[in-house]
Amino acid sequence: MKVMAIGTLKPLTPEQRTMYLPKEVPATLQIYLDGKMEQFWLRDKEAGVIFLMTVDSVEEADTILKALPLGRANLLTFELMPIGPLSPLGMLIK
Amino acid sequence: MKLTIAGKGIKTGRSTAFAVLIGLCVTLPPARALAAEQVRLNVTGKTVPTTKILAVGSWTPKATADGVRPVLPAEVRDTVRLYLDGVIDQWFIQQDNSGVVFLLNVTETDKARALLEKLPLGQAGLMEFQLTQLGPVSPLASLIGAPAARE
Repeated sequence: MKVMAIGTLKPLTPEQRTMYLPKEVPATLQIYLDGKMEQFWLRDKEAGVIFLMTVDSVEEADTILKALPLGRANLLTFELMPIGPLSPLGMLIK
Repeated sequence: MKLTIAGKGIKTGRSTAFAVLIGLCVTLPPARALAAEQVRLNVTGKTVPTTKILAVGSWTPKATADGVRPVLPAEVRDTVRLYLDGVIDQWFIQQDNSGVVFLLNVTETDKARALLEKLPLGQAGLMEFQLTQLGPVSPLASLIGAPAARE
């Protein structure tokens, strides 16, 4: 299933950037390499990120994202939305 | 030579057959085949997960505009059903009318082939698909000194 994960980032101090980002970036790339993240974006003004996840469940997405360094530090929190095909299109083929 | 369906040009069987033949020849010429054998894109040697299948649909040699036209309404509906079932992730036509390109939320080639062969154009032997399994760009792993996929 696909889960759209809308991440909101608390403003980071320079110290926090130095502490977390060198670990956060590789950990995020690893999620992609594992085939769990299809697409990734940064929200404007570094408000957060948007990840399109391909996972077995919302719980799996939650576990993966909370394990990220910024997630563990509660600096990046996600709203998880299960999404699927635009089913109303089915009205057109009835 | 082009025929027209719904105002769009569609190549006739003969020219398409030729195009498909050319396509088959240029798909994997010797140098590229050699590279595929000798160059490991997956630098870590770990298994890269298959996340999608790229399906390129082309007219078969016997496809003609007259043969395709009556099948299209059913083809459209069944294609929409594949999308609604979550099978088709993204869908495109090729601008030269040589066929379609689907990105499938399927990881097994056999399953993808079975689903696509059931489409009306496939049943009628008018369209055939070339399938390629896809996965994350594993060479990016070299940027983080990490395995491309977990063992």
